[in-house]
Amino acid sequence: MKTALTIAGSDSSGGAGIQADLKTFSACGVFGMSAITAITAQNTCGVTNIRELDAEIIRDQINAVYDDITVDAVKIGMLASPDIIEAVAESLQRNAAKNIVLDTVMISKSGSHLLKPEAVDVLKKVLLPMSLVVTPNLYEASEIVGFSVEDQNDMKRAAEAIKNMGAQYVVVKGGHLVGNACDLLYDGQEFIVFANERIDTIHTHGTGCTFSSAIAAGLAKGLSINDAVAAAKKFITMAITHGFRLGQGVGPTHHFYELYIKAGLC
Amino acid sequence: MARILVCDDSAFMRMMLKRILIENGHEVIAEAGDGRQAVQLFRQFKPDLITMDITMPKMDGIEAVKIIHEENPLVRIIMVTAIGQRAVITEALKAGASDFIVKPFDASQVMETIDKIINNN
Repeated sequence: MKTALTIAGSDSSGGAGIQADLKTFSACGVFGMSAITAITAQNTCGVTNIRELDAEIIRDQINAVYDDITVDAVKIGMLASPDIIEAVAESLQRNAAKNIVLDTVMISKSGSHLLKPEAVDVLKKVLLPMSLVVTPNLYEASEIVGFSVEDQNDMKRAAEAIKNMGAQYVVVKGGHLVGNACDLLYDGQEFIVFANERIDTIHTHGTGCTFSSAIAAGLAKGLSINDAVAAAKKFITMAITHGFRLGQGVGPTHHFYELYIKAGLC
Repeated sequence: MARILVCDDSAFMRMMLKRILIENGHEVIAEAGDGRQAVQLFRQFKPDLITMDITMPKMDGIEAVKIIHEENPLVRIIMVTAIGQRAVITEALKAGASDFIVKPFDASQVMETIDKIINNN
């Protein structure tokens, strides 16, 4: 079986972070493994507390996986601080990690900062140049490139700038655009637009985590980058379509919609 | 043992490389944070080998390689490139670099490349 490792934070409400990543890996047919960087106390209404783990245990989790198991793809999510970024980079370097998908998690749906502002530079300098794919949303792309990213033209300029920082492929997620939900893949030569009609729902907790994990799962299975992004786009669209109300706030996407449909459960 | 100049604008990446090089018996004689500084330190310390990042402020790695190679074609330069910068490796090799390592690299990849270059000398 192909494998994927997520390096990210834990979401106690199960809709985002490590929990969403592992569900996505399973739903997409790869064996999921995890290295936890931080523990968040959160629910569908917001984040109430964050506890970062220390660098040593983060390094040890990653090394323990690599020392024993072949890792076919890695997804990186919440990193919280410069120390954590360096610990992750050191371990990925030590293990010559391949197929790294960097989801530049900076802020939660509910508005909590999940990456300290001083960590953005370290992320750009250290992790971005070793990433096969980087998947910022509009806000994160703006933070990385230093100019406002609000429409498709800005997305193209941002993708070019991020590519020049050393990532091999860039996917700028347009979920926050006005109108259709279009994502942009840039390979250094051409732009490919993945467009879908916007789904009318508020239940979008964990969409970013789910999308980047689905890309990692595709890469782990040996898909090309174009096919991995296309499959991930289809997966996240269906997961959002089947998203459901949970708690009082922004509900999760449905990672196992396909199984539940087959079982007559949704 | 080679006398090596490490050039990268990320202090963390310099530290990672330095650790690998020292653990394998080489001497890191200086560290540069940009291409311009790399050229200055090359003139000052006359290293046997230079590891050179590509994207850096003030002067990029390729420009620095051109200047250094013109001044001393015998100095061996290894480009340390981002995964997405494979396209510019050819340019770096034309400018005078001897070989390249792609991030993320582990110790054995670094040492294989360095040993190959030193033995070819």
